[in-house]
Parts: sequence; C-alpha cells; structure tokens
Amino acid sequence: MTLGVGDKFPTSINPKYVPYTKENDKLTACANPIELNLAKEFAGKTVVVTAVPGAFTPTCTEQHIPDYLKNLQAFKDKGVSRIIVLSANDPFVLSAWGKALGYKEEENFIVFANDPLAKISSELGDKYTADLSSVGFGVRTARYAGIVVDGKITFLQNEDELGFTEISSSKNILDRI
Amino acid sequence: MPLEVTEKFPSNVEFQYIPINIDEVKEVNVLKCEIPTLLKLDKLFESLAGTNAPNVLIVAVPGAFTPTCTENHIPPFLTHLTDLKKDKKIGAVIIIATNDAFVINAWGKLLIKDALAAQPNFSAEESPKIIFASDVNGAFSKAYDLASDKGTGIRTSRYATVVNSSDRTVKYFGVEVERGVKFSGLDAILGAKL
Repeated sequence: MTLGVGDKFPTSINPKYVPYTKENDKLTACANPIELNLAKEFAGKTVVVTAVPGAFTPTCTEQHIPDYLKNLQAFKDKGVSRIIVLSANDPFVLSAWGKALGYKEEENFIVFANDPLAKISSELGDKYTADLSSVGFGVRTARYAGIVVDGKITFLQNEDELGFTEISSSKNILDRI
Repeated sequence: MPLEVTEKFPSNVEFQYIPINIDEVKEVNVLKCEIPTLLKLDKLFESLAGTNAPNVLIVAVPGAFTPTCTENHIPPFLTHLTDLKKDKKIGAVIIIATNDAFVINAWGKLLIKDALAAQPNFSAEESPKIIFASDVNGAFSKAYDLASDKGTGIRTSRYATVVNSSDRTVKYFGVEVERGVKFSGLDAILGAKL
C-alpha cells in the first residue's frame, strides 16, 4: 500500500531526536534523545517532512538539507511550524550531523529525527524506503519530501534514485504550501 | 568461537573505511565526503610484520557519536597514541562500529581533531596509524558473537583486541559485560602483557 495526498501521515511510530541546546553545541557532545510526538506535531499545523538515505553521505550533506537551511525563513513565512528530517541513522548521529550542517538554534525549527529501521517511511509505501543492505547500509529511508497539513498529506513525492533533484528541493515544497 | 589470546587471528577480514590524513585533520571539513574503500587486514598485517611496532589494536564500539564512546572510550586512546606505539608496539589503531563508513569517518575526524588540539607536540611519526572503519553489517564481530541486534539494527559489543602482525596471533582480548569501559579502554591496553 502506498499513501498519498489526502491520506493521514502515519503517527503510530514516533521518531527520536536530540534537541539542539547551547550546552550540547559541540559536535561530539551527547545528550539523550527524546520522542517527537507526531500526532501533536501535526495537529492543526503545517509541517514539512523530508527524508534522506543517510547522514554524512555525499548528496544529502552537500545539497538537500543545506538547501532547506538556507530557506528556513521562507518556510516560516509560509506558516510551516516545523521541518522534520527523517533518516534511519540513530539520533546521536543525526544530532551531530545537524550541528555539522550548521543548524544551531534552540528553537529546533528543523529537527533531525531517527526513523527506526525506516519503519515510518515503509508505512508510507515501499518506494519511500531503500534496501541498501548489500553495501552495508541496511534498510534506509529513501529521499523524499512531503507536506502535512493538520495530519493529512497534501504533497508527497520521492526521488527515483535517492539523488537530490527539484522534487525534494525547498523551492518545490515552498511553491506547494 | 571466541577471539582468544594465543589463537590465530582469522584471514580475509575486511572493513570499509575512508582514510583519514592526520596531517590535514586540523583543517578538516567534516562534511567533505569521500568514497569508502576496503580495508584488508591481511595487507595491514603484512605492512607491519617485522617492524618495531607490529601490534594492531582493534577497538569496537556500539555506535559512533553515542555518549560513552564519544566521551570516555575512544578519546583516551587518541591522546595517548605515542604511548601506545612506544610502550605497546602498536603500529595501527582501528576503531570499528557498525555505522556506515561515512558516519564513522566524520566521527573519527572530529575526535582526532579534538585530541590533536590537546597535543601541541604531536608527531605523526611517533604515532600508530589511526583508522576509523565500518564493520559492515557487523560481519566480523558477529562471527565471534560480538554483535547483536536488539531491534535497532546490528551493533557490536564494546571490546578491544590486539593482534601481533608478525605471528598473527591474538595478544589481548577484552569485552565489556556491563555499561562502562573496563576491559576495552586505554588502561586495559596499556596494562596488558602483549
């Protein structure tokens, strides 16, 4: 089954993340992960959900998330309450990656959250995960981007080959909000 | 089959890694992405066999960027590299985890950078080679019952072993049985009879 526009974004699994705080500013600092309550996040709000195959891997490090980080204000201006970046990497790795990419604001408008074994993404449909076990990466989230308004998907599309194209670009998402 | 002292270390063990150039690590950009390559342990042993630092130290951690290994376990090794080479004849230190090679590389570069900042007189020549590598799918660790999947993907135990390249035998093995660092940390290695 593949979910799409009009369907509810799955909320049965909450991703975990480490919120950015000034005390944990160092890339190698560690804090405890907490759950992001998706049902609460979505209620009455506009949320951007996007996913990457892996932290610190070439395409996403160099293009996808930096593109979003450059346009945070534009997302806010459109009424987005939060951007959730999902990946199958654990919350510690994701927290370090977020800081390495330069997002260091206690507002945590963008959060880097662990989709455990890509299970949330697999609830969206097969094309939202990528089995990279043969190269030692396990099952990962595919690269995709979506818009969730009051819990319902209003836009959702994956990249065909895990790369970064206009499909998951900030411009495409901003144009559709 | 356990890894045991006096046993032969297996052949054909491979990890995936991105080499870290220690001379460049101070200016390193952790976001620079390079392509992972294979680390063939047999080749590494060959290159160190017969030298005055023939021992290879392998330290495994459950995860890059996780609290215990970032804060307590690996940094002490990186700030005592000269001792490891001089006192323990260790010619290479390999840190492994089941994280992918990109994640391990980024983590390794950060830890090395921090460790070097604390050692103004660091000399790469007096230090063992430092390698941060991925035990892909836990293949090596699993063969010795040193990796398990508790529902969040396969992770290695926290352990350390020293192998002598010249005769390929295991000279030290220690695995943690509870949280913390006792048998696989710097003190255990510096205190081991190799």
